[in-house]
Amino acid sequence: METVKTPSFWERKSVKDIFTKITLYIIILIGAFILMIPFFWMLSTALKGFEEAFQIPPQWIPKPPHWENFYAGWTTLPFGLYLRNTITIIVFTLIGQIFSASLVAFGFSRLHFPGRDLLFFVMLSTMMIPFQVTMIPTYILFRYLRWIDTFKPLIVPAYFGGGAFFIFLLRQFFLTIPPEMDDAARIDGCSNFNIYLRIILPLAKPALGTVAIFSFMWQWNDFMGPLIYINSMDKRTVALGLAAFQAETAFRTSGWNLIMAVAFLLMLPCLIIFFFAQRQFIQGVVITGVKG
Amino acid sequence: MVIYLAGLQGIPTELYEAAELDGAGKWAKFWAITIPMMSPVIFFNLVMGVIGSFQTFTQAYIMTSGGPQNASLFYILYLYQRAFQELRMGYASALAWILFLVILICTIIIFKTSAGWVYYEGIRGR
Repeated sequence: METVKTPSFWERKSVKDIFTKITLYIIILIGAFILMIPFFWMLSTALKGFEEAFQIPPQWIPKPPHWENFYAGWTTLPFGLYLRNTITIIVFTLIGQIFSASLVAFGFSRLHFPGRDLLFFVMLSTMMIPFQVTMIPTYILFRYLRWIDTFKPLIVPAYFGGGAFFIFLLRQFFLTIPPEMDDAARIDGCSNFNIYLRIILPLAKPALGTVAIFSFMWQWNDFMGPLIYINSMDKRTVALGLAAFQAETAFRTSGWNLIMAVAFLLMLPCLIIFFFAQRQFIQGVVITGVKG
Repeated sequence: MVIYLAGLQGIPTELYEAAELDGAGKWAKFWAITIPMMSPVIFFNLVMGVIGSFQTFTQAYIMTSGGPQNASLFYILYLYQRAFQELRMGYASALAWILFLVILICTIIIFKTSAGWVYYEGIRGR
């Protein structure tokens, strides 16, 4: 049998195709570079000495790089402790949000009961009232529960629906799953809860991944929530710690370079998680595709 | 963007294969398959964008505090100033109610139009 040689990349593509590709990549790279400038600035400031940080025009590559800034910044305040606090909050909220939001979204997209659409709008309307308006009433509520200065106000709400944003997002995804799958499962004697657990959840993995990423990043960067509810120094989250750091070093000899060094370290987890998740997403697009 | 990526994943590849067999080009596939199949996600981002834009606050608060000449005075910033700088809580609460109603009406209008352009595979009777 004659073997068919697969043509290599260069054989398949004409010169014009390659030229178009190169042009496209150059345009994309220029765009990416412009978007990355604040990031480079942060990294370069993190490696500077105190005086260099305020030089105009800015020196992009500091000589010599002050690598010790990372250690000095991290140890000025107990950032290790803050990191542990933040991770505790994130782990518990993440679990709560994924499960409760998907369960509520399942109800709104698959079950039929009187007043469903009205309830859905009531839920959506919780997003329409700005945070600045609900901030004080929520605080008073949690004060009555004696939850101030604990992690509870930040964690427990995640178990009661997980927020209108995630419910709405998941509902939109659940509605794209063909109902024939439910029917097939129901004929086999599946209960509603089992349909949710065994059919909807596995098919909505990309959406759940999105929820997880958003939940992580929001909790990680959340400043207002911890600021309102946390008072003790040893219960601070990293966002609060960074703000406290900024306030404390404002008038000292070591300033923005150390802050930027810590900010850079604190950005890394988000960046790493995002890169990994993104690879998952793109692989998913190539390999699978829900069979309708 | 992450939401769109997740949405792209839900599109069955058979649809593209079928379209290719029928001789559809890249643009035809994009308009006839990708956009309709993504419409629930696009709809989500539309509603969120509208609600979020009505509540623009942080940028104006941090950068300009509403200036120059009130050129960047957004509704929520105005509300915030009345409530927490002038302590006129009643007036601010009334402002919040009006904003809520405006956003609610806009959202309901968007939802009413959705029957025409959002395609849900999971809803029967089409």
